[in-house]
Amino acid sequence: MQELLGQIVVQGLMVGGIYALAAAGLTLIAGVMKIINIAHGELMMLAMYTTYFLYTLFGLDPLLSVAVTLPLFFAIGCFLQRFCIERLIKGPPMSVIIFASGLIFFAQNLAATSWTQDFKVLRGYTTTTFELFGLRLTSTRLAILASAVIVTVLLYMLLSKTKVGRAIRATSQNIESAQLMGVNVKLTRVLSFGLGVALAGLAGSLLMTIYYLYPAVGTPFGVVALIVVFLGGAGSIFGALIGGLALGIVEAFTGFYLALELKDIAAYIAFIIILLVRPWGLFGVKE
Amino acid sequence: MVKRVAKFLLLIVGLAALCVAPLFVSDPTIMHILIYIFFFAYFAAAWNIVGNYAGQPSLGHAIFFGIGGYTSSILFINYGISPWIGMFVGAILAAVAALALGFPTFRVRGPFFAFITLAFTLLLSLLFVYFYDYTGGATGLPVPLKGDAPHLFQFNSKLPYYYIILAFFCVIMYVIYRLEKSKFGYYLLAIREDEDAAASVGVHVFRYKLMAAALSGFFTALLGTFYTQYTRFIDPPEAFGLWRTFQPMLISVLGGPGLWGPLVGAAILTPINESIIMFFGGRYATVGMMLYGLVVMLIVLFMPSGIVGVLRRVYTSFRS
Repeated sequence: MQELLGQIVVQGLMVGGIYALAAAGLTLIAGVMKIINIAHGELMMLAMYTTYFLYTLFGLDPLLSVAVTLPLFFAIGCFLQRFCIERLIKGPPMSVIIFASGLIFFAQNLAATSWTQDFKVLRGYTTTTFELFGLRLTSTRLAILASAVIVTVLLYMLLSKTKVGRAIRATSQNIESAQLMGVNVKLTRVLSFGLGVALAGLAGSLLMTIYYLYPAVGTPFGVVALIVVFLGGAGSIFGALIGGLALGIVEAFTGFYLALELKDIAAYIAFIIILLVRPWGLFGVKE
Repeated sequence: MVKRVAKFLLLIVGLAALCVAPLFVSDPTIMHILIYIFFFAYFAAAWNIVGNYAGQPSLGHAIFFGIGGYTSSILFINYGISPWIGMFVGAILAAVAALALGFPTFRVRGPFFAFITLAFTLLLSLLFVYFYDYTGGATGLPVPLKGDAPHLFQFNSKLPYYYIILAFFCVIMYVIYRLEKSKFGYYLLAIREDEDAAASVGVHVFRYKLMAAALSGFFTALLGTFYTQYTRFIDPPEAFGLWRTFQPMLISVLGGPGLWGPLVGAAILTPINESIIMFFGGRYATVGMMLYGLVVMLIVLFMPSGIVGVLRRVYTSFRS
């Protein structure tokens, strides 16, 4: 029984690692720009297709395809921010959300048109399984968990120790003051959004190693990432890691004890409770 | 005064034309497109109440649509209750659902209503597949065929459906027209423009947003029942699919805000959409939807007042 519980926790941590990675990108954007990119999951989905085709066409290992998806999605994010979001944040308050839902619909149907609705998996991709303290682990799942932790630490270092990070924090605290202190706010926003989307790309690539792929695969992950952001507090990098892992574990237990199909319910219930109790997140600070 | 009378006369003539139009149409395809124009226009108008007038876009109107369609069908199939009655039961349930979703989200600033409705669309499609004993699960619920039975909301020809959806549309247009002119409408306008300013002059922001959501959910559920009776079938993708949620927003954004936006948007988009489905069918339907996503992105970026806004600008520059 104890081994079983341990296995469920391990399982939860793996999925939670994906949630944490996805939420890290989302929370960075939320902290700097006070917007939530609801199309985050669709960007993950596009990264999954990228990884899938790099594997099937060129035989590139999905873990190595990160070297492609990270810069590619960084560029996509910078483009989106520079030419779309930057225009919209000056406009009516709800235009970002409507733009993003247009993007969701566009991306899903682009995928369905180009690559059909069929489910895809990485055929023939094998991982090494090994045992540790009586728990069965696979290399890909460990890679996911490790990347979640490493990314969180790196992101924290970037934000707290570098000049760019200081500019990002300054922009998220007060735009006018940041500008007065000589921060290029526009560039900072482009970089933060690019970084956030790059993390969606990373999460997508890693997710491809443990999950199957279809055009609508991103939406639930995007919504869960959004919930994790509120759980951890918008802008809180460590909040995203802890929130993501916690939600992963809770889901694994719901899936085990209730029904596998209903595992997502835990996330939705958590969402309502957070909204009712502390809408700015459990670890975040009130604006 | 003369202008008002002229406007009124124009309205009467337009309505009369819409009432007699089907008498000259024998082609069921055109009939179908006419029905869908008012279907989409009504859907967008219902979405507008909360999405536009209250400034809280919903990313889950499929929830209310699905509640409407499923409630009337489940009541009819299991208890023999006429969908005419089930329609209103569903509408009340949807209004309650809208209140429940609005309650935790309207107190917080930001598009939280959009987030929670999106999350609950996913949740409901999970639940409706899982509890298949009541909902028919993934295979869906066919509405039992009873022939030409007006008291059961079933007709053999498309003509009655046209008149019903036209009546629906007139009702919602009247409701929104009255809303625009009422205190409630001005409160909503004030809230949308500046929430703090509205609150500071004593507008109960939270309450009016909730009322708008309930009204919007109520009318959307009526449409859910209409659709289910018209197609005689409902399943989770039909009810809670992303396309269902996206429809009213697309039409509303395309047409533009205001009273006539939904009709203009629907009149332009419906024939295009139905032609794509008819001529290209299955696989290429997604091409159309991909373009709709792009259209929404482009309109929000470059033409935020929609087609009605552009027409209005052209009209004023033409006059001056």
